Amino acid sequence: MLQLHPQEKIILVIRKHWFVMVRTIIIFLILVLMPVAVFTFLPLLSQIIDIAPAVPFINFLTALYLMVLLSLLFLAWMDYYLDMWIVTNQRIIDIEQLGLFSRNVSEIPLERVQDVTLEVHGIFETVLKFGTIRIQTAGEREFQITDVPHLYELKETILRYAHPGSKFKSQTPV
Amino acid sequence: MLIPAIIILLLFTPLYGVFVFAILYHLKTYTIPGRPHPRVVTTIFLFLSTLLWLFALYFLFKIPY
Repeated sequence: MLQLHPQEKIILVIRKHWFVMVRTIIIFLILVLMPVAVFTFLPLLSQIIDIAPAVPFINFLTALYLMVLLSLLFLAWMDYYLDMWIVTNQRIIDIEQLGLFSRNVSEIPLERVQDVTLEVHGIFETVLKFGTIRIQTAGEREFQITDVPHLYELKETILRYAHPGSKFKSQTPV
Repeated sequence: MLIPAIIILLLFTPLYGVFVFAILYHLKTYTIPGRPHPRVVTTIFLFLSTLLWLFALYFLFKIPY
C-alpha cells in the first residue's frame, strides 16, 4: 500500500494509455470468437458422425472456456489498473504490477531529477499521443516509463515540481 | 460424459474462485486510498462470471447420463 510522507500530496496519477488495454481486448475478442468457428463446423461434422449427444458437453466446455477468458481479461485489466506512476510534490513513484503476487515499486525524489526526455515512435503513438518518458537522475539509474499518455503535461509537471522557480520549462510540441 | 463433466466442474469452480479472490484482494489492497474503487468493472466481471457458471451448470444437466 502507498504511504505518503508528511506534507506530501499527490499531484498526478498516470496509468498506461488506453490503447494498451485495447490491444488486450482485441486478442480477447479473437479468442472469444474461436468457439463460434467450432460451432460453424459442427453441422458439417454431424453429417459424418452423430454428435447430438455430445452437444451439451461441448456447450458446457464452451461456458468454462469463456469463464477462463473472462478471468484472464480481468487479470489483464487489474494489471493495467494497478500499474501506475504517481507524481507527488516530493517524488515520482513507479508502481509496476506483474500479474498476481508480484509487484515492483520504485521512486525518485524530485530534487534528483536532472533531465526529462520524451520519445514517440510509430504511427499509433503519434496519432494517439502517447510514448516513453525517460528521467535522468543525479547519480542514479535511468527511470523509464512506457506507453504514457499526456506526455508533455507530465514532463512539465515533473520539471515544475523538481525545480521550482528555476528556468526549467518544457517545450510545447510543434 | 456426465461424470467427467461433474469432475471438471468440481475441480474448476474452487480454482476459479481462488483466482478471482486473489484478483479482488489485489484490487482492494493496492487501489490508492481516496480514489474510486473499481466497483463497476468488478461488478460486471462478477455478474458475467456467475452467468457463465450458471450456463455451465445448465448444460451439465443437459448431458445425458
